[in-house]
Amino acid sequence: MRAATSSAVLLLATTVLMALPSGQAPPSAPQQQQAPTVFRTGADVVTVDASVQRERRPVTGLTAADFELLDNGVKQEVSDVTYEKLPIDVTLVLDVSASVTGAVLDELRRALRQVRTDLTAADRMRLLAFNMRVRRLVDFTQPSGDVDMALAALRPGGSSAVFDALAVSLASADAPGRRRLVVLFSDGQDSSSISDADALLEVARRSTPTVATILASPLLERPASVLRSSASLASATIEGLSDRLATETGGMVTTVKSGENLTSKFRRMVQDFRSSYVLFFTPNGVERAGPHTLEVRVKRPGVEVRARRGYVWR
Amino acid sequence: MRAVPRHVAPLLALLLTCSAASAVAGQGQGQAQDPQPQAPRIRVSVDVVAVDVQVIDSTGRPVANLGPEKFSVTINGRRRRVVSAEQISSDGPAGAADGPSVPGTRISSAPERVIMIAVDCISFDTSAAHEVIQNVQQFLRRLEPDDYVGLSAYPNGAVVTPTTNHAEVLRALNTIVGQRDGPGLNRFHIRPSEIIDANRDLYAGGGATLEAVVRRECGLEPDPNCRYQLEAEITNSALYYEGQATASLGMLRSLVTQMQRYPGRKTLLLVSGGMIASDSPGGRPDLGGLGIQVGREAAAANTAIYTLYIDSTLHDRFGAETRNADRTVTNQLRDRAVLARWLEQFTGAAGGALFAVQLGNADAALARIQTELSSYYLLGVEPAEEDRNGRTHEVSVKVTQPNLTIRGRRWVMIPTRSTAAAAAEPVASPASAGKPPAAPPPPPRHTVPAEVTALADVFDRADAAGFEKALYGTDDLPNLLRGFRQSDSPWPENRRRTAVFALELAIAGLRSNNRDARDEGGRLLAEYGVRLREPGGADSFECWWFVTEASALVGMFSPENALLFIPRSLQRCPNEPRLRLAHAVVSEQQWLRGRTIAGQEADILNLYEQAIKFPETAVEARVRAARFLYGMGEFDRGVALLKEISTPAADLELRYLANLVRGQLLRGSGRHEEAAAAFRAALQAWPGAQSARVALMTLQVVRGNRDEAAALSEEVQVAAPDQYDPWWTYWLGDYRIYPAILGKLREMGR
Repeated sequence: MRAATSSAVLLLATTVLMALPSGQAPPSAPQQQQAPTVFRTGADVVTVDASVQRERRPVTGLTAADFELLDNGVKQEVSDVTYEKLPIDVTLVLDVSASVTGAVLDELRRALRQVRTDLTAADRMRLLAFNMRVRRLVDFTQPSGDVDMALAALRPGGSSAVFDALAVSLASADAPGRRRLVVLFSDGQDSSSISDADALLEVARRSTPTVATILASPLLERPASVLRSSASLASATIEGLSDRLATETGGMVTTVKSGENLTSKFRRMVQDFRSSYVLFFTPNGVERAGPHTLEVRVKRPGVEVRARRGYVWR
Repeated sequence: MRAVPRHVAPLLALLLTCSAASAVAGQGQGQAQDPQPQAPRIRVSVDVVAVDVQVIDSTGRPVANLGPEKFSVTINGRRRRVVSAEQISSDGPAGAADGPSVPGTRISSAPERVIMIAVDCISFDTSAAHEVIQNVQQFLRRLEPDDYVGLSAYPNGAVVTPTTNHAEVLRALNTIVGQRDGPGLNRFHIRPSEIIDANRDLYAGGGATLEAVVRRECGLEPDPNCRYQLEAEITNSALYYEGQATASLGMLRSLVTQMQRYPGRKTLLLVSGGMIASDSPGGRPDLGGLGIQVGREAAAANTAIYTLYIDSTLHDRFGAETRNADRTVTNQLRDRAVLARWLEQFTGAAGGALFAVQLGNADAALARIQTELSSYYLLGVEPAEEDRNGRTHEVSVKVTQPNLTIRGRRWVMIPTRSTAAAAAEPVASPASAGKPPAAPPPPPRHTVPAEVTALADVFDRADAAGFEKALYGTDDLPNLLRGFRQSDSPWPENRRRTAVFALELAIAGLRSNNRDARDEGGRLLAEYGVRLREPGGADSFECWWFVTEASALVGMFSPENALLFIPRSLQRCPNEPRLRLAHAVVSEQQWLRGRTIAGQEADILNLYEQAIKFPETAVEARVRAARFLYGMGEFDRGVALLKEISTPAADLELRYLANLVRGQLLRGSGRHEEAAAAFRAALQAWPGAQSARVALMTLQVVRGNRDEAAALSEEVQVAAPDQYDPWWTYWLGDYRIYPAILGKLREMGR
């Protein structure tokens, strides 16, 4: 398991339509069934996802009073907190370039079938695949049977545009009232993207999804090309960039080696995202326009908080 | 002056079978004192095999009047009876060293001598070759007028079949040009012996030579990339020299094979500046047993070998490649040893003589060779029954008299009795036929492995797809490549076709996941890069062969390998624009890999600037240089470079790429509005291109235009599955047009 340095946060800036179960305290344990939701709308409300864990287990039962939130260093009032109430949109971004071998692909198919089974009826799943070409295999609205067909048809080949694939998934339209998780599966090598690390990070900062990355160890004798598109080689691989993406979006990073259970890695990613708190606040005492830094703390000892580090007001 | 006719001796060079004869003619009868020169004759009561040897004293003068009892001959280590010893002298009886005649000894005038001069042009640079040629011309002027002299300057230099027209040979010698790789090809200054020792160290995981070279070339605290590049150069150089040496030996082997066509004893004078080969077992560059094998074949062809190794290490000591290297005398001696290594193997296996001389000091050695050539002994040796199996056997000749040197073949083929009888039929010598050996019998059949022949048949059908399917479907690619390298060409008379075939095999090898196949592919490229060389300079075929090679190498994205070959190609074809551009692209690939060292960025830009000078590559080179500047963060400089493209490229791909790169640069410099316009222009040039859409999409996210960004994201996700984007092959340079480049080469090769 790679260091999961920070955050799981969802940010919805601007005009806002929030799906919030009004007045409900967060449940004390994970729930498989969504409670009925009451939508509350309001301008200028910002939402932030926060994963709170102790010894790698979710901490439940927290209220707004348990959180302390700083926007550009200024303490903000957390108006509401919700836990496991909002439906999830999971976008799976799968590397099917030549460096992803058949055995890994088989394991990947098994893992994705399990993820689909784990999702609730309100949740949705979208499937993007990429080598140098980014293409959508299954959209949110398609029936689940299409996922099976798409997975069965996957054939690895070509080079890899991992940065572009992530950027495309992050830039797609938001669906109101839903939390968004993008799970990237890749061997970490980019050789075809037009986007460089800076462009991708900019998109990540200005988008709502949380990015979780599963890095597969290259299995080929000769790994795929690693290209830098700027003076920094470290920014050339998603491996080098994934920690920063996790930091910026409140996601996490994990690696999977040959023989390891890929299914459990995927399930962990989705479950971790589901069991995050969503904090609501309206910025006060800070200039709204432009970029904001965020800091989320919990007034309990021994807990680890992962939350997005910032957002851009628009 | 020698008497004529003298046609029997060549016949004796083959097996002599005179089963009806009763005794050795003239034995004990003082035949050497016959007043009139006679044709050498041996009459034997048993089947004998003829073994020719030279016996010389410490000054190089032939020793006369040795009887058969003075010789000790073993075949496969077992002693065999010497039935007769006949001295053949080009100077007649008086030409040999003085001494009384002894029983069993005849002194005969030699038949016309056939002397083939072979010059390894790859081993000399231009200035060295000039001096060498002058020496050889002097040697030629001292030969007898009726000596048949031939010339082969390889690769692809002057060829003269053996002739008494020495003026023709002299003229041909004047056309020889040294073709050794020039200076400036390598980043580092590594001596020949260091290549060998450092390769050994690399294999062992480290060692003193490697560390010393690293310290010298990269400093006491070396940049890891400097070390990486240095180690790659050391490893790749070994591979390259293996290929180059294979080319030299292969061409020498062809020459030896051709000499089999001439009956009787021949002399091959090989003039070489040496070739780097490991002098330790298992070391690299590794020529395996190739030198020995060719030497054996020369011996079996009844060819006496004289090798003149022109040592230019002193001359090279101050050359660009080595001037910064360690130049101690010890290293110089070691360089000389490794450069002469394969010559020693070859000459030793042939039972010949190797003379190592300094550049410009070959006269004495050539004079000595001339003296040694004036006389030899033809021994009649009685083989045992077990020797008569039609195979080649190791033969050793010694003399009982002290302080004499024997030069003779180490291998002899002893036919079966039935074959021997057939071989006893007269064979025409140049003299007996009354004409020079310009129209010899057909050459021996060429040996080509079955799998190579099968693939060559597919190649001949001009079905490119079928050929590639057969080539890439080969079960054992390393073996196929090795078989091709070590055998004759399927098209011995069509050099171009062979070269195209070799290139396609080499590229298949380099693309393979099998390391052996990749190594064989590298050697094959190095070998044919040399075999192609025309002494008068590269022709259009050679240059296009290099362009094809370069485009394939660029497409493999293995810059260290590509940088081994492309600079050498540029030395041959300096005005080939696509090679210039390829050089810049592979250098940038090295940068993209993060494998460059400080200051190398300026070199890369300089390479692009050179390609900009050619109209054919000016636009593309500008685009690529601008993209490189984008990577360097020099956005405004990149924009300025693109502004100088006066007219839109007719090539739509290029127009698309130019706008795409312009957009990136403008975005980098904060000119978002102009950047968006450039990306839209790119999409206009290449509608639907994913990269332009993504670039515009990410820009619109930054600009806050979320709706347009989302729309572009959607367009990317649902694009037609066959939508192509030229950006995907951008980093692969001319590989994007490789099929067209290869197709043109194939046509040129047919």
